[in-house]
Amino acid sequence: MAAFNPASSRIFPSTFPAKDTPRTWPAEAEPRPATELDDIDALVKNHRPRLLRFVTFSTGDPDLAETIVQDCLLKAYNARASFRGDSSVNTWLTSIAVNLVRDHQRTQKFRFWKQARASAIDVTDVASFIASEESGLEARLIARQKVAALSQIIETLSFNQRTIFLMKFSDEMELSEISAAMKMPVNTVKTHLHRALKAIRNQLGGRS
Amino acid sequence: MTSAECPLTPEELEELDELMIGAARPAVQTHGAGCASCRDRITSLSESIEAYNVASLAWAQARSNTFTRDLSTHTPTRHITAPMARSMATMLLLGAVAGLTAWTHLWNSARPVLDAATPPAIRAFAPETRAQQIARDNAMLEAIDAELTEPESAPPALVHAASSTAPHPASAQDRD
Repeated sequence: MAAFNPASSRIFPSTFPAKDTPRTWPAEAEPRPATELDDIDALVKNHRPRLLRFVTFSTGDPDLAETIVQDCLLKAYNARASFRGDSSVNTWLTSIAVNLVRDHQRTQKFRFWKQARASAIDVTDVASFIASEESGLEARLIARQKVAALSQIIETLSFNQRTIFLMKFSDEMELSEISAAMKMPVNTVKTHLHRALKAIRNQLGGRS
Repeated sequence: MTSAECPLTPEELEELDELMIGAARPAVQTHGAGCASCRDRITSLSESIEAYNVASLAWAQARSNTFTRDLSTHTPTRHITAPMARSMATMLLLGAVAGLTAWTHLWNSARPVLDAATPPAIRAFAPETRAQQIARDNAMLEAIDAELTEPESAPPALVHAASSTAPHPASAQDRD
């Protein structure tokens, strides 16, 4: 029986060494230092909201996002021994999440339910979460309008543009990390970002 | 430098996005640092994105706080979402209703309609209705009741035996 090769896994791509790269982590000599990945409660508490935001706005479906985030945390916890610390836990989790979203997107089932989905993001609801310490009622209203407008525009972007935009500007990932997670060259990532920013700027300009 | 004084063409202005992306050429970085118009352009978009990030994270945090599902019991890769579950339940219900309707229709169409024009031969073999069956049962019960309430008479066998032992009037006459 062939041994499991994590480097070939589609779910955990970014932190595994390439197939022929020698392993740098001593297999048994030194135990892996404990990380937050070892504590499932801490993992959920610290990372679930951010992952939920990413997957919700990437898929545009809050209900589906709940399921994918749950899968993501469970897979990460079960595969925590494979985490080598090459990137932050945030980045690693986002990479797993984006692979789960892409896997799900490939299925016919997703396309069908995307057409018939009853669950969509309520941008007004999202905008209502604007920080209340914002100075003055007018400033808060303007901020809410900006958030609602941007949420709507992000929904109109293509999947790649939207996902890469969220990785860069919401999750603050490096271009190289996005490139690894999305399995595309850095220049392609930059092109998607340029297009996303242009679309957002044009549409925001048209609304103001 | 005001926006009217900014010497960049629209194409070059797009290059300013590189400042946000983090891959700007040194010339663009220098211009962005010195041009007020370009700075405003970048700041305006950055502020919108920042507000979006804060609100969307607070929204996700609020959603997570209401989340109570236990990770240990969660089965992965079963992506049945709430709308899917609702739709599946609706489809099951519709299927059940359609099945029941079809079955009722078949049952009714399989039963012959008996009316006055139906030949007696067919009536004889037609499955009786519930009302007919009840009427037949009632008739049978009435017949049993009638038999039970009749005055007691000697069984025919006893009558025959008694008549065979009694002297025949003709033979008595013979003896006389």
